[in-house]
Formats: sequence, structure tokens, C-alpha cells
Amino acid sequence: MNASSLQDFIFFGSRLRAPFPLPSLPVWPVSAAEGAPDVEIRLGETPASLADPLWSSPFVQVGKDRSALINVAAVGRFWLPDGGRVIVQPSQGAQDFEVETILLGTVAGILLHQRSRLPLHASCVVLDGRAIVLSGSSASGKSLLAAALVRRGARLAADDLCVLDASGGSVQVIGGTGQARLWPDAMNWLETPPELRLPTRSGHGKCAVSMIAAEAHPWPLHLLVRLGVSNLAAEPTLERQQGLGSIFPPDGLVYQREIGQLLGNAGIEFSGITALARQVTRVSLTHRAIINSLDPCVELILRAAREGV
Amino acid sequence: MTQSGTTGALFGWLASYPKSGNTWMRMMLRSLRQGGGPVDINESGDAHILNRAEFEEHFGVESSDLTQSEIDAVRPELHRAIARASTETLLLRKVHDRYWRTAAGEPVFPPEVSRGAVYIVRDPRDVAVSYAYHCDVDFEESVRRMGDSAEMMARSVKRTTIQLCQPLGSWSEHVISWLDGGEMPVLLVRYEDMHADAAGELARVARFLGLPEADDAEACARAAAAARFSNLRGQEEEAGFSEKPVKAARFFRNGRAGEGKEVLPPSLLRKIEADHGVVMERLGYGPSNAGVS
Repeated sequence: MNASSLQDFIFFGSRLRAPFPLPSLPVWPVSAAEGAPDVEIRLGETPASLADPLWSSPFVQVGKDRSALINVAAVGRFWLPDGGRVIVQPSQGAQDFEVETILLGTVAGILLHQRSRLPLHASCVVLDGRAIVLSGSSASGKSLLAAALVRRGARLAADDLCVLDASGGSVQVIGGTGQARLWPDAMNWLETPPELRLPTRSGHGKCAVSMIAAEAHPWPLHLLVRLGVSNLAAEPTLERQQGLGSIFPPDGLVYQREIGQLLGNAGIEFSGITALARQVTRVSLTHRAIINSLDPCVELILRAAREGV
Repeated sequence: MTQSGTTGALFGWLASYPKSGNTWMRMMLRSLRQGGGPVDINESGDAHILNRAEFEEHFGVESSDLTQSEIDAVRPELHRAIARASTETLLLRKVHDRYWRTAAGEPVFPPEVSRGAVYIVRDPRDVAVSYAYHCDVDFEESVRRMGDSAEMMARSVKRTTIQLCQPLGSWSEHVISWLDGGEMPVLLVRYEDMHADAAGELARVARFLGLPEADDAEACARAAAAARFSNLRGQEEEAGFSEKPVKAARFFRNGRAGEGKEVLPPSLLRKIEADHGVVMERLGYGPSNAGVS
């Protein structure tokens, strides 16, 4: 990875300065270019591992000082010392797009926790000026459903990761990228031309596809859709969720929730999810296989968003 | 997810090639651990196959941003992490992987966190029929897959999968990998013996796994009755089965022993016996009368 001139981007509502291009992030407005960034990415040496970590996996370490180290050997190491800096040490042979993939996925989620934000494991589209958040575990169809909703007039605000902000009384969502990361079956369904399928990892089928994007500012959250996969669902079923019991604990909703708790964000999570539960319409949408039931799923969501549940 | 200082569980692997009676044994064990009571085939929880959500929970990383080789390399550590984090003493897990090693040579099913493996085997001629319906392919294709060293389940190529990729290898390679793995105790259970004496085979498995109910013959009999094939199939007919592949018409289809010899054409019987004859003979699966071509 070669450094280029510094450029500022909009990173989940914050100003991020990077020494290399990040094509999937919106560029910070030129008119506001002066001033210090909230987060700065630098190329440099990182520790190989954290000493005496609080938590450790083959890919992530969390330090007792709230630092974090993400290590994907073929791509590089990403050291997050304090929530304001990301030190990137790319591995030899790593492609720029691979660094960006890890940076805007796992690294972004942990960085947001460090910055005391509440990241959701969810995609987000904006329809009629209001946000629809699609949450669910991996392989539940978040990205494809978001892309399908974009085809029906919505705009993409985030793919796989967005921020819930209840600090101002109302519940808002702050998006990330205007690209959806999709697998070949999904891109074929969407008839995405080959030249628009940008790689995410070498030797990996998933690609990044630019979508019609929503403006990068907070959007009022109108509808939370929690996706579930069940072979028992002959047809997609949408059900209203009510009460705090249907959302706590928010496993699978909050991105890397346990790491957030280790970083001291239990209070932020509780207030954010409580506000969401009280103010936002929530539904579960259970399907058997999203690729086989996209049209009915889209119809159910559009009806819930426009006519209520 | 791994925090230091935890102790943890040991795995009891319920291993088999697909469509060999694994779910049946799992349901009997589920019933037995509840004292021999009724089983709900759609009750979630015990003995499920490893999935992406667990990977992400224990490792704190987005699994779909990783390559297959990166995921494969840490499978042993994932099993250790799950064992460390568990409050159980015995974790039953269904496994369709063959017994395999990472590129670095580490066993994917680490012996140090394993009590042992129950390996369930079924006559490959019957597997071929059942596997064809399971995958919605013709018999020729299922027989071909069973002879393919590169066969895998849940490999993310065109779409992501809920389960992690499971290398099967050929049917023979699968059997040999577990029976001759040599790194943990393995109990061989034949599907046909489960048919002949379900309660007896269940008791044998329970003893191997160290379950306290193993010597309660009445509980074993009740569990075998609760999980008899007709009951499982009846539940699926009434409410569906959450583990049924989307393409398959049903999961609990027939459950008979000896169907393969009746329905497979002689050419495919000969191919199965040519591909797997050595292992079949070892397991007591004699030749059909399909003759030689």
C-alpha cells in the first residue's frame, strides 16, 4: 500500500483523515477542510501483539487500557491505541482494497466502540427521509435486502455497520458507506455489471458494489427489521416486536457486543437500545433463504414502513 | 470469544458422513439427557453444527471478510475457545467434517478438548439414496459426490452460508479419517445396529460419553421410543424441520436400511463397491449381487 496525500472522509459522522484513498467513504466537504480530524489513520509500525490483553482471539486483542489490535495476517495489523488513531501496518502483498475491507468492517466496529458510539450490526437504507435498519447475523440477508430496497427507491446509508445515536432525545442512525458488499448470487439477481463488482479480498467471492447513497448525515430511525433465517418459514413472515424483553439482550444487534462491553459501553448500549425500543417500530422478518424470497420480503418491509404494522 | 481464566468443557463429537443417522442419535441423546422424555425436533440448542455467528462471537471479527483458508486455520482455536467459554462439562456437537488438519498440521478437533467421538456409519448404498434426496440431485450425482475427495458442505462461493465450510472428502476417506485418526477415543456405531437395537446402541453411546443416564436401561428405552423414526418424521410432517435443506422435500424421508440395494441401478452399485469396497468390507457391508461389468 502506497501513501498518497492526506484526505478527509466522513466516517460514521466523524471526520477521518487517511493517507490513502478510501473509495467507499464519502469525502469530507471541502468547505470544512480546515481543523483537526476526529480520527487519524497513519501507516506505521504496530505492536505484534498487546501485552497482557484483557481479551484475545486470533484476530482481535483488547487491552486493559482500552486499546485494540486487529490482525488479519494476509492483510495487515491495525492498532487502535486510543479511539482517535488507527495505525495500519499492511502486510507484504496486501491489496489496497483488502486493507479497506478490514478497516471499514471489524476495525471500524471496534473503533466506534472505543469512541463510545453504539455500532449496530445492520445495514441501513433511507426511504422517504427516514431510516430503515436491517439487522441480523451473518448470512441473514442484510446487504442483499438493502440493495433490493435501493432498487425500489430507497438510498443506501450503510452496509453491515451503522451507528445508533439516541443522545439528542430522538433516535437517529448514522450511516457509513454507500457500497453494499454482495456475493455473486446476489449480484446476479441484481444484474450488477461485472465492471461494477469491486473485489473485497483476493480469492474471495464477495464484492463491493456502489449503490445510490443517502447523504451522510443522521437520519431519524423509523423501522428496525430484525432478520431471521428459518427453514420452517414456508413464506416470509413479518411480526411486530414489542416490549423490552424482545430486544434485550441485544445480541446480534449491537456490533461485536462483548467487545463493546469490555470497552465500557454497557451504559451507552442500555440507553441507546432502551430509547430504540420505546420510540421505534420494530419487526422481525423471518425467511427461509433471502435469495429465493427477495420480492415478498421487500414488499413486507415497504408496507411496514409506509403503512405501519 | 476468549477471556483468560476460564476452565471449560470437553466436546463429545457426533461425527458422520451426511445422512447416516446422526440426527437420529442426537435426538435419542437429547431425550435421554431429559430422562427419556419427548423430543421436539425443532428445539434449538444442543449438538448443533458450528456456525458463523459462533465464529464471530468468539473471535470478534466479521467472518465474511475472511478467506476460507483464514477461517480454516483457526478452527482448532475456535473449538478451544468454545470449550473454554462453556459452563457445561460435556458439549455434544454434530459434525459432518471428516477428521482433518489445518494447513499448519493442527487437528481441527483438538484432542485436548475432546472426550471422544461417536462415529456413526451407514451402508454407503443407502447413504447414496438418502443423500440424493437431501441434495435434490440424481443418484448418479450423489454417488459421484461420495467418491469425490474434494467434496465439501456449506462452502461459500456464490453466497454466504450460515454454517462454516465442512470438508467431507469421499465417503471412504471420511470413515477412515475418524476411525483411524488415532488422536482421541472413537466409538463406532452402525446405523443398521441402531435399527436393530436403538436403546442398546444409545446406552453404548451414553456410556462412551460418560452420561450419568447410561446405565438407566428404562430411560434409554424411553429415549429410543421418543426418538423413533416414525415420531421424528411425524413431527416434520406436522411442523417442518429447521435443519432440512431448502432444496430437500423432507429430512426424515424413509430411514430404512437396505434401500440402496433395491433402488440403485446395478451400474451405481458397482461404482460404490469399486470406490469404497475396502472400507465397506471392514464395516461388514457385503457386496450386492450387481455383479461385475
